[in-house]
Parts: sequence; structure tokens; C-alpha cells
Amino acid sequence: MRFPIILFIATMLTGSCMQQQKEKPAIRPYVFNDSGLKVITTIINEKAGTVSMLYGNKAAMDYQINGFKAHQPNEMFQLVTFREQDNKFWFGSYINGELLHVETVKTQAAGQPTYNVQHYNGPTISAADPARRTDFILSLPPAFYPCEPHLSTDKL
Amino acid sequence: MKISNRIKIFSLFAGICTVGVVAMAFTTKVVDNPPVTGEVEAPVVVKNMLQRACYDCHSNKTDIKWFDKLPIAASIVRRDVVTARKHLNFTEWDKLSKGEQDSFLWEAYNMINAGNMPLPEYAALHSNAQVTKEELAAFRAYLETKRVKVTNTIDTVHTAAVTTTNYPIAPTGIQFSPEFRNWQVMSTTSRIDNTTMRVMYANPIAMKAIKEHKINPWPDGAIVVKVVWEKEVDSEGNMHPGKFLNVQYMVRNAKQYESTDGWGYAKFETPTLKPYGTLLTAQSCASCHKAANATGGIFDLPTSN
Ligand code: HEC
Ligand code: HEC
Repeated sequence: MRFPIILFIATMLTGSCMQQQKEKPAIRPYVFNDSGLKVITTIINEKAGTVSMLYGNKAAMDYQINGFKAHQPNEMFQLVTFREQDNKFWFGSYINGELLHVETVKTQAAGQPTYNVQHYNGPTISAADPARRTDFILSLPPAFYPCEPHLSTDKL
Repeated sequence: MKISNRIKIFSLFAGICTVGVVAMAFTTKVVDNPPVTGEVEAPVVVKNMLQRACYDCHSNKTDIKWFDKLPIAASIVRRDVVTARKHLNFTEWDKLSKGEQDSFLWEAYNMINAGNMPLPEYAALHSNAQVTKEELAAFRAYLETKRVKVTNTIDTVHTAAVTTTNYPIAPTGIQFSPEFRNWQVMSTTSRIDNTTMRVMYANPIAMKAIKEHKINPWPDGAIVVKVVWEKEVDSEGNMHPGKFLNVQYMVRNAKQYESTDGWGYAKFETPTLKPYGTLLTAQSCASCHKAANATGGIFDLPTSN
């Protein structure tokens, strides 16, 4: 219950000095630049405590949306992996934290797609893994979005 | 009659009136206590805390103190109790589904943790209403036992996406638009109080505000969009976005949306993007988002401290 105005003012006057300064939250800098790529899907790996966002260029989105038929050259996929951390403002929610690494897969006119990884924080992905990582990245199904802006204008 | 006598009589009369008014004020019922239909269940420490710190407003066991009956106080108290009960009533707990009960418990924890509940003005006067660190820890431990496990495997068949450009409009006047797909991702979250995962997008005004630390308050024109899916787990234990649930909007306009703390709220459900709720729904969105007042009403900002 609240209380009479006078009592309220009195409490504010005596209480305000004692009130702790609210800690100002420091927001993580946004290190990854999507450069116009769009989100294909999101993958959470609870064992590793990570969450990844898969981005793609238009050719990559087309491959996904057309049902994984044939690759075209110049598809570009980027899998951006973050450590998961507690959401400071809601117990019950995990949020992406520190950026760990960005893996890039590009398809070519002929031969194997190229793979490379850029590390930011955390453990490095072993160099023997490129083929397996490439397969993993290319196999990820797209998340369902209720609208595909470029699909409705370019494809239908 | 001498002047002094007149004053005496007048004073006496005034005195009687004052006593009468004060007595009336003190005996006036501030609020009724309707019957308890079913009480919240929780471990003793948590339940005692709720009874001590929350029941005066969020139950049918309101205990009115003498100073709550003073003329101006009484009307404020009445308003608070009536509003609080309407939002959340720990003694009509049986009227909620199991899922609603649990989600109110998570919300209650987060409201206390954010310093929003019990109402600070109330806590200042009712010294025993403060929630201790130990009680909060016990509450958290209790919620840990309520973690929701994801069992859905990857099998969702997606219905076709919306192909119209005649997008639905919510009661708050906010219209759905696929434009957010071109915005920057603000964050992504995974919930343990339910089985959903989310991706948040921020429009360029919102993104600029974040980068410049100008989010208290957020600038007009800032928009945050959240997309929500059920989680699905694959054979290796990775979680993927499965069934699409809804898209939610927060649109900043301090003046237009003053009654909901400057944010306009909208929610579009299912692949057909059906607008959800009424104008009242936006009030309940805003109530809960008060728990994020440290960051201007927005929860999902990755912090480094
Ligand atoms: C002095 C009265 C008062 C006390 C004490 C109080 N509350 Fe509240 N509470 C309110 C009012 C009033 C509202 C509605 C706020 C609004 O209009 O947004 C509210 C809203 C809430 C909500 C939001 C419900 C919703 O609609 O989503 C939660 C959760 C909550 N209170 C939890 C608590 C808990 C937990 C405690 C005890 C630790 C507590 N409150 C103590 C008055 C009170
Ligand atoms: C019970 C509390 C609660 C209610 C009620 C609620 N929200 Fe939220 N909302 C949250 C939390 C917690 C988050 C962040 C956590 C997450 O998404 O995992 C959030 C996040 C959001 C976001 C992303 C921006 C942000 O704050 O991080 C939007 C947009 C949003 N909510 C819209 C709505 C709308 C629209 C409604 C009403 C239809 C609503 N919310 C009702 C608790 C609530």
C-alpha cells in the first residue's frame, strides 16, 4: 500500500540518500557485421553452451528455400557462434554473449566449397575439421519465417 | 456574547467535527477480503516471503495498517490492491492453469529481482516487506526445479509462408511488415521457463541507440521485433527452431504510447499472423516489461557485466 503524501515525501527525503546507485548495464559491442546477409536459422548447442546464427547471401537463401537441390556457385554461408550466457534481466532466459568464431563456406563453380574460420574468443576449432564443418553448415535446415521478402518478389 | 466565547464554541464544534471525520476514516473499510479459493503452493521459505511481502496487495488476505486508513492513503491503497489483485492473486491460484501459475512464478521472481516488487513506496513503509537475499536464492532454487525440458524432435511440417502484402494490423495500430528481415540481429535467446527460442531484430534507429548507449529512454522510431519458435532437438542434441509461434513488436513513440511506458506493443500469431489480443493486452505486455526498466523496457541486450 502506498501512504499519505507527506509521509511519502519524508521517506523520499530520508531514503533517497541511502538508495544504492543502480548499476549501469554494459552492453557488449556488436563485433559481427552481417554485411547485408540474412538469417537462415539459429542453432543452440546446450552441451557446448553455445548458440550460433547461420547467415546467407541471396544465392544461399535460394538453395535453402528451394529444398537443397543443387548448389549454385557463389553461395555464401556464415555460421556465427557465441557463448550462451544468463540473461541479466530475466532469470529463465539464456542470451548470446561473447563472440567465439565465424565460419564461412562459399560454393564454387566446380569442386569443393571453400571453408575458413575466424576466431575471436574461446577454443579454436581444429584444422582437421573443415570437411565435417562444411557438411554440417550446408545441412542446416532453414528456420520457418512467416515472410520471405525476397522470395515473394523474386520467386513467385 | 463575548468574542472569546464565540471562539470557544466554534473551536469545540470544529473539534467534534474533526474527531468525527477521523473516526469515520478509520472505521471505513478500505478493501474487502473476498474468500480464498486456492492458495499458491511453494516451499515454506518462498511461501512465507510471498505472504509477508506480497499478500497485502496480491491476495484476498489484505492486512490494512492504521496509516493505510488515513483519508488520502485509503484511496491509494484501495487502487493498488484492486489493481494488484486483478493482475495476480496468490489466493485465487486455482483459477490459473498450471502453465499460467508457473509463468507467474518466474515473473514474480524477476519482478523482485529487478526491484519492482513489492512496490518500492510500500516497501519503504512496511519494513518487513523487504525480500532477503536468502529468500530470493530459495525462490531461484525452487524455479530451477521447474526448468522445462525440450522433447520435440525435428518433425514439424511448415505451412506455406504468407505471400500477401496486405499485412495484418494489431489493435495498437502497429502493422506487420517483413522489413525486419533486413535489420540487424539484436540478440537471440533460449528459454528454460518454457520451450521456446527467439531471435530479436533491431531497426537502424534502435541499433544506433544501442551503440551510442542512448536507451534510457529509447529514441522515438526505435523498433524491436522478436520472432518466437518452439525448440526442436536433433539426434546430436542440437536445438533448432521448430514450430513457428509468433512475431512480437515493440515500437517506440513516447507520446503516442504514453500509457504503456512509451512502447507500442503488438503480437502476430501462427503462420497466418493473426493479431493477438486487445488494447488491454498491451497493458499486460507493459506491466511485465517494467522488469527491464534498467534498459528502458528492453530485456534482450547481451551484457558484459
Ligand atoms: C503495494 C501493493 C503491492 C505489493 C506489496 C506487491 N505488488 Fe505486485 N503489483 C502491484 C500493482 C499495483 C501491480 C500492477 C502494476 C501495473 O499496473 O503495471 C503489480 C503487478 C505485479 C506483477 C505483474 C503481473 C502481471 O500482470 O503481469 C507481478 C509479477 C507482481 N506484481 C509480483 C509481486 C510480488 C512477487 C510481490 C511481493 C514480493 C508484489 N508484487 C508485491 C502492487 C503490489
Ligand atoms: C511475463 C512477462 C512478459 C510479458 C507479459 C510480455 N513480455 Fe515481452 N519479453 C519478456 C521477456 C522476459 C523478454 C526477453 C526474454 C526473451 O525473449 O527470452 C521479452 C522480450 C520481448 C521483446 C524483444 C525485446 C526485448 O524486450 O528484449 C518484444 C518485442 C516483446 N517482448 C514484446 C512483447 C509483447 C508484444 C507482449 C504482449 C503481447 C509482451 N512482450 C509481453 C517478458 C514479457
